[in-house]
Amino acid sequence: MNKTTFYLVDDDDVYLFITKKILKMISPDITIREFTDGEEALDFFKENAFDDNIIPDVILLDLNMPYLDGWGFLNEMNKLHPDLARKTKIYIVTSSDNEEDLSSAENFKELAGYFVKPIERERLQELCESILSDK
Amino acid sequence: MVRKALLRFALLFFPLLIIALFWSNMQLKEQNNTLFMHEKGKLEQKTDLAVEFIKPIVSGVHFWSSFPFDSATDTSYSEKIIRFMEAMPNYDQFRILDTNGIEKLRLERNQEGKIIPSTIFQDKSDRYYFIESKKLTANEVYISKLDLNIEHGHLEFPFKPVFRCIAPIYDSEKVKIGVVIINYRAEQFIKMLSEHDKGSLFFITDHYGEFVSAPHDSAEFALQKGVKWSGMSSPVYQQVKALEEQKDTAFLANNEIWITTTIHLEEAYKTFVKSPSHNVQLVGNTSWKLTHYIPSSLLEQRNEPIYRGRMLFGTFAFIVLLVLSLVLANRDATKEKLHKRLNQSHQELKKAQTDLEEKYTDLKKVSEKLQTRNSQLREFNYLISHNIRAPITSISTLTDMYEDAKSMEEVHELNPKLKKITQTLSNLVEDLLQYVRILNADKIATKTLDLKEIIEESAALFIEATDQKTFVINTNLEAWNTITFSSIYLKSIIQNLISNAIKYRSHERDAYILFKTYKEKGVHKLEVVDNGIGIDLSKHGKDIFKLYKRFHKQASGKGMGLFIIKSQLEALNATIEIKSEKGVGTIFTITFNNIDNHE
Repeated sequence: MNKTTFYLVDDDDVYLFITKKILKMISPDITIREFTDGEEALDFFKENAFDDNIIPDVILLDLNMPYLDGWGFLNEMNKLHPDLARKTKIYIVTSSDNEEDLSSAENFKELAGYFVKPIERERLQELCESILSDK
Repeated sequence: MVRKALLRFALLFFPLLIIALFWSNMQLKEQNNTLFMHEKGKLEQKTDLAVEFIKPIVSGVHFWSSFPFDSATDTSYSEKIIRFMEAMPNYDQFRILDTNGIEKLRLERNQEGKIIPSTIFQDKSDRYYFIESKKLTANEVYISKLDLNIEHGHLEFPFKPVFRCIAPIYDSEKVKIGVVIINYRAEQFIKMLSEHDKGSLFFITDHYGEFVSAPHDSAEFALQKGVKWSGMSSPVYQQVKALEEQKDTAFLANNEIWITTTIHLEEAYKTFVKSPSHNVQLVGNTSWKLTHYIPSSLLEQRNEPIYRGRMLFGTFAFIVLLVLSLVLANRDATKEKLHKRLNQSHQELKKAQTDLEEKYTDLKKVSEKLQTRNSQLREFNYLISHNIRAPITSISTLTDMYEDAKSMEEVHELNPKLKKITQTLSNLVEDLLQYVRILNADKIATKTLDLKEIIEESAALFIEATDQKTFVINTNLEAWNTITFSSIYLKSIIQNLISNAIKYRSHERDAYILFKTYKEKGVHKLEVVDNGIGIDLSKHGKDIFKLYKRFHKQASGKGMGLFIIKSQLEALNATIEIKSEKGVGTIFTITFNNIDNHE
């Protein structure tokens, strides 16, 4: 189980494309799963509720999404997997450096960090290394 | 102010003046009456006075009547009489006439007042007083009328008014030898009888119509003198003459007083002198009428203090009341002015308060507007942070990637992404422009709109949905149908709502949308109800009216509709709320607040 798993939740496919590309450049072994909004990701978790293998190492979560936004996803996940945060590092990745969003983020203890887009390659590199070292 | 003062003055002064006049008139009447009674009493007492005056003279004559007279040569008799006469200054003559009327003894007072015996004896047998007295018996005394003395058949000059007191006289043998006559000078008697206040007129007439006493010397004894005086025909004398014919009278009329009283000397004497030792009887027919006339001029003169008092009071009251009225009017004016000023300040304060209230309302409206604006700005900020920044950062990353690209393959891979971002940005700019146009509209043209018409117009756009009878548009616009709003916005809102209702209808049942109007506390409300699939508000509630939020994957839509509806409503001070239940339907409630103040 050396493979690192990343879930990307974002409605911006250019972002998804770029992030995927960068992650593959960091390590071709990284498993990536994309969701175009919170609801889609949530549905996936619901469908595989009893499969521990689907729990990723990292979730990069966008805030502004059409059906279910980042906050909505976090709320719903809290109900579904209250202890998800112990296994998964959830990062907000958003283009917003809005005060409101930043202060809301502080209220979620489950969050591992908050990135403002564009997320640089170095950040992702560090992130991968810290995950590998944890393992 | 002056008019008011004069009015007040008149109201105070004239009643007071009338009372004062009334009162002073009463006083005048009272005073005149008192004077009248007083003068009447005084005149009635004159009979007593006359009797009192006569009494000693009568006694004197009676004394000599009972004193025997024998001889005219008896000097002792003459001496006794002279001594007696000297003590009686008004005794003018003392005579004894024999039964034929020839003087037997004559003592008279000369110019120097000395009593001297006369040697010239006259025949008085034809004089009325001898004729009337020659039959007198013992204890009888006769008093003649008042007239001027006559000697030797001629009026004595200067005129000498006298009356004569006569009694029978006897000798020692008690044989009547004639009469004893005392001539009494009547000036003092007349003066006493006619004594009166200065200014009034006093008359004494006898029953022959002779004026014994009158205000004018020419009138006195005019008959005896045989002179005609023109003044006798004057009204006053005529009135005296007229009253003479009548009984005693007293009246106060035309501000004049007339009082008459008659002295019946013999009767009065009988009444007043009732001593048992005194058995003298007065005979004759002597009577005088006393007339006292107090002319109006004298009454006026006597009443002058009252007139003066009245005048003084009037003047005093006039001045005091005038001053008082002016002072009061002045005070009233000051008071009124003060009151006016107070009222004015009150009005000003009230106006200021109203102004403040208006300003407060304005401020409140502005504040509400600002709050809306603020939340719109926040919204805008959010849009910028999320929706614009994201593609831009993507572009910068893509640009980096272009630079790092190691093969044409890689570059080709990037191209569609760049194109997509361009499209996204282009759409975004389009949408934002629409939004900003709503936000920025300074003056949105509003007019009175017929809601039913707008709904019908909008429904026509969805003819394909409604034609299949699977979707019905219902209205209940009884509460209100017209509203002042932007025509473009309202049409857009209605169209969006119908579009949503069709898009998110439930295929399990016949779908409908209902537009229902009602009023709540006078505020126009529009309820839009559908039986569509509904929205889970617990999940999406806070995002409902946000841009690019979508809640149902099965339907197409870019998440603009509700966002634009909300923005358009807010631009005209209206609000929208949502109630929804998944699988049951949705209720939108639009509240049209006053739009008079929008900018």
